[in-house]
Amino acid sequence: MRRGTTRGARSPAAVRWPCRFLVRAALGLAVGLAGCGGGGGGQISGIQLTPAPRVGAVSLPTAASPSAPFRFRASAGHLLLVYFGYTSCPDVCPTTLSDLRTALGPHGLGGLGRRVDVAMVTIDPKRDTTRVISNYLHTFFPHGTALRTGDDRLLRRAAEAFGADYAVTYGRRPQDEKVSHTAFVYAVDSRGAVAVQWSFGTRPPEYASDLRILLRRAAGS
Amino acid sequence: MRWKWIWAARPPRARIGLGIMAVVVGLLGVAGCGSGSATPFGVSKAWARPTAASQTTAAVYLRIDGGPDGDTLTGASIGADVAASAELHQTVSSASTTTMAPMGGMDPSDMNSGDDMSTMKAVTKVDIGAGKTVRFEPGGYHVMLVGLVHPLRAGQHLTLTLRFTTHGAKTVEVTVGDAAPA
Repeated sequence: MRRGTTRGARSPAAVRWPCRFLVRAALGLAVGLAGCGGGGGGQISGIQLTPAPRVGAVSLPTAASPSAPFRFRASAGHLLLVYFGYTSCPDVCPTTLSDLRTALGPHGLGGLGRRVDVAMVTIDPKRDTTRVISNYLHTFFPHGTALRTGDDRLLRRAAEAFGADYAVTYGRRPQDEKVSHTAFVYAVDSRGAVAVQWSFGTRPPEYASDLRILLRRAAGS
Repeated sequence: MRWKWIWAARPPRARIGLGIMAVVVGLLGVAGCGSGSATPFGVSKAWARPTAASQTTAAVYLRIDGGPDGDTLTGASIGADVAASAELHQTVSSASTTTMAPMGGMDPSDMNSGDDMSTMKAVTKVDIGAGKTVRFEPGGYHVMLVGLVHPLRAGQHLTLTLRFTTHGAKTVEVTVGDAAPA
């Protein structure tokens, strides 16, 4: 029955339609490959804001040595990925960091991954002590920079420079804490501009493809 | 007859093509109706990511098939040697966060509204319709383990119990690893 309706819908003029089907299939395949090939074509799949937010003038203390301010600016030829999150986040944060790790690893950027640095800012400094946030980030990125400040005005100013937002309300028990946050990953270039930001759910190949393009630009500048 | 006309009016090469197409379309049809309706009720593919030493919470992801009658998930529990409690949670994020298309010309202040934020809420029940599959996946539903006793290590297995209205308690083995089991 299903076959009947499928065929019936075809016009009698389409005598050679199996061939047409092949042509269409080939076209479809080409489009599909172009879509997933991103890296070769040079299309960025993340979000590019115009003008790009400037974050190079903003700094936060590192968890490792709080007296040393960390500036949001990649070193020459590198990219700096910045994430605002918290360690009691069981779902969104580990998913994002795990996907990023895959994107930067041997099955993603491979050797190029060495030119990508990662920094994570805790938006929950009350529970994320310097030790907690460092240990958490280093589980995913042994060389990552954990950033933490107990000064909410400083944290708010840094988040606003990126266009990030967060809200934390504390309850009586630790699990009563309610946290909301924007879940973007930001790529900062050596001029301190946010070149691209990715929303939650971005897949490792998409990160890797965009990062390859950004690294090419970084090497050329 | 229309059928006869469709077949006989074509040169032999086109007939072969039509035959192949018919088989392909037929197979697609069979594949389409095969899934879902025959799947019995059950919980499967449960996994959780390894956790950092400093992490006190974890998320368990899994798949629930409603079977012929469907059911309602009302809660979860985990051994006291693993975590203090297991709760049903859902990550909620506005459409603008998750479906925002790549575009230029957006004002940074647009990204700053509270609507763009992800947050978690506790869930008291999850309905699984008859013949339906509900996937607990990153960014959606998850069973949150609160107060981890030890960090979860890759390769480890946990036993999680889910409570359903009709099917009662169902235990499922949770594999700790970096991705969902195939």
